[in-house]
Amino acid sequence: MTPVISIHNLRQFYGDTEILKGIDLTVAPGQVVGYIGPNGAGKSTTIKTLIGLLPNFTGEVSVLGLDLRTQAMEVKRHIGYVPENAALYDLLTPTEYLRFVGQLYELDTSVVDRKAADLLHLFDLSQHANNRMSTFSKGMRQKVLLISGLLHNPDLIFLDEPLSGLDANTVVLVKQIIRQLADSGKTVFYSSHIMDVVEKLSDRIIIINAGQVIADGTFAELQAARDTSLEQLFGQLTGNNTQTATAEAFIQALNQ
Amino acid sequence: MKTATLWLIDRLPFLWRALGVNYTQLRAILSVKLTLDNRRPATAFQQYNQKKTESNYSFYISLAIYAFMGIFAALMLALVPPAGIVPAAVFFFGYVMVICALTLINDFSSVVLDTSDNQIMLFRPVDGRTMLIARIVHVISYLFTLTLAISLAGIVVIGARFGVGAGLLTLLLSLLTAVLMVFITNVLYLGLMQFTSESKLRELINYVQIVTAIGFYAGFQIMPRLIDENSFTAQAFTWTWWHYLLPPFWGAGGLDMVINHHFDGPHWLMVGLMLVMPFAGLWLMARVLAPAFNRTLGGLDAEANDPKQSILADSANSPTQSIADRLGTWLTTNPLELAAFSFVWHISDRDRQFKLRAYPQLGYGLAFVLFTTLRQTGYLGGAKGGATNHLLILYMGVVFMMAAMGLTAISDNFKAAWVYTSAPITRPGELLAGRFKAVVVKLMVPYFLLLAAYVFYLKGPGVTLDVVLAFVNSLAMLLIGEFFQKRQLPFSASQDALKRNMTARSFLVLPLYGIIGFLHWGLSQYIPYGTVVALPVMAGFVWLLFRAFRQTSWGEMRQD
Repeated sequence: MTPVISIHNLRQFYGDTEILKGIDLTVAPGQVVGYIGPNGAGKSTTIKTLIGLLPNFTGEVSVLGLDLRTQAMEVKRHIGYVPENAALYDLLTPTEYLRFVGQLYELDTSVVDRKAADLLHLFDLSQHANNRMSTFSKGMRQKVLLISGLLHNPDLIFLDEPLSGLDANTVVLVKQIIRQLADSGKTVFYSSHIMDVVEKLSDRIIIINAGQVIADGTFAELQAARDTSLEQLFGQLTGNNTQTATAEAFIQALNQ
Repeated sequence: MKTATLWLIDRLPFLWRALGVNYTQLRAILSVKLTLDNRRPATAFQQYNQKKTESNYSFYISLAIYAFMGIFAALMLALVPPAGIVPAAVFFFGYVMVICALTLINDFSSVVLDTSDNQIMLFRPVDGRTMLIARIVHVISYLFTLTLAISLAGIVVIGARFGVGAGLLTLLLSLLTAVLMVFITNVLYLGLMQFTSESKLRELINYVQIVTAIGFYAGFQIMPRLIDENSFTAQAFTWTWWHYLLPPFWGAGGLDMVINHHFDGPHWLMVGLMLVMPFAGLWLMARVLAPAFNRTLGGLDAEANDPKQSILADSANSPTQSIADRLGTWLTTNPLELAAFSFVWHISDRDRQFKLRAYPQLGYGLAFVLFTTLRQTGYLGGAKGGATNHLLILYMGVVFMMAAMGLTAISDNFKAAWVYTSAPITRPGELLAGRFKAVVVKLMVPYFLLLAAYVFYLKGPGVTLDVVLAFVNSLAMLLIGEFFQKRQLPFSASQDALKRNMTARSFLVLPLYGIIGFLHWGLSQYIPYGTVVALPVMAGFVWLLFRAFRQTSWGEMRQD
């Protein structure tokens, strides 16, 4: 089976700072991959590189069997992306926005309208389908964004903090959607800071720190060495398991 | 607007094919952009949306103003004999060019350099070329309307004098001039992007905007003086080689050809340049420059989102104690005041929007002072005319300082002002006092020194007392201005709030300023030692005012 993502020695610079220091990865279809790491580790940079936003990388990257450097436009056509705290044109209504997104993918407008209406209905947004999004809550916007990232039925989906702002019931729903997308042969590559979610949802967990992959495997595999929760494991691996001591110092500093 | 633009887009499929643009996507983007403009009262095209209404009402008002100003540009076209049409036409097309350039630089650069689109569109299958052309067509759709308004009078004049054909030609040439200016400003931006680091780009454009705004303002003041009576002779225009380099001459050449029937090589060349260059420019932008453009913009965005970089930048920029902190400790008397002082000082250094709003104001003030006095000395030059003059110069400053003071209350980031309400602040007046001091020290003192230096240059050291009294009075005026308006904490209000506040305030306060200035003039003119006596009185008055101002309570803040 051809891998959906194949990265070989990916390096990404910002000015003189090396943000990604040689990443090697292959991802097979039908997996849910949790991509985690501390702030500034290079998570977003990896994802932005994979979706073609940062073309100035070194190394070999192919996505869906297409060379990212030469066929970026074709890659963009077949992937979906839901960015973190994403911007959308909130003066539009969800229907208008989704139609616009559909047009950017050159989909048939009537099909998009029907699909958008169905999806909005399933997310309980039918009554708001023709209201401007400027009045929407964070969770409602996140729902619209999720739809806009999936509207063109992509084979590979990148999600950056997909559950942020959603209410508890929707979280369960979106987790189910992610699971069923993977079961139907699509690949979901997502990053999150919520370890419980990553632990339960991922077929495979990749931890990066300071621009390098430091752990890669199923949760069971990662746990094999040490029998702890992912949260603790994450702390140990990213060299920051001194939280208790730090918390004490924090309280002390407050009391000064 | 939207319908007209989209109608035009639909009529030009061959152009989009030639430019290599995806027509479906272009139409979708433009349709959304124009819808957004109609719904958004005051962001992208600020200048045109002074009112807080949902309609484009104020856009039409400014169009009317442009059309009115266009009458003056067309005046020469109406008066010169046909053979002498070239200088008049050069002036006319030059005017169209200048207005277009000014508008592009000041109002539309935010559209061309908008990175907020990136987060929505860049990861979707839209190529850089389509995005850039969509932006440019978006800008052109506004610019065409504007150009129509400016050139309306000229078109009517030419049409009435030389026939409908010549009128339509004027219209065509004006629109082509607009397209050409879009190309030139874009090349300017792209050039800047090639030569500066990406993070400096916005900053740099900020300064370019300020300088050009002042430059063009000065140009308007000088331009009428450059037209002399020779322009009105019936002598045929002699063309030299450098005329082929200046776009206004191309348009003028085109008119000259049709009106005076000069169908010779040079005239055809000029018409050719005018017809070809705008489209060559568009083609060049789409084919050659667009990829580089969007790569750079993508970079700008990535930078803004990178947490690491902002940390690096911060640690580089914060030495142990900044000038603001040191000055603040000397000049303020309590922690709250100090907080507001250094807060205003830092933000006014760094906020692009603040700089873009405040500094051109101050620059206009200087240009205004300079040119009015130059003209006056030209006409009058007498000693008595001079005496009113230097007070006028000194008091001019306070009007622009009022504007700057108002700007320290507003911010695009005004929602962050929740800290003021969540913090246990009992006397907000101290924050106001800190803000006031920061503006006085950072903006007013240097500005006033400039004005004073100019006054000393004109009058010699004899006017020292007047200068000092004018400064004290200006402080009093600023404080009075603050008392009249709704008092705002530093950077806590939205742009709209300022606008609502502004009109009422200026009606109330400006006559008062006039009175104070007039009294000063009367004192210095008719009462011996008047200024000497007035100085300590006014200083005491300022001290009292400031004390009252500092004791402003929450009740007097009159929150929304």
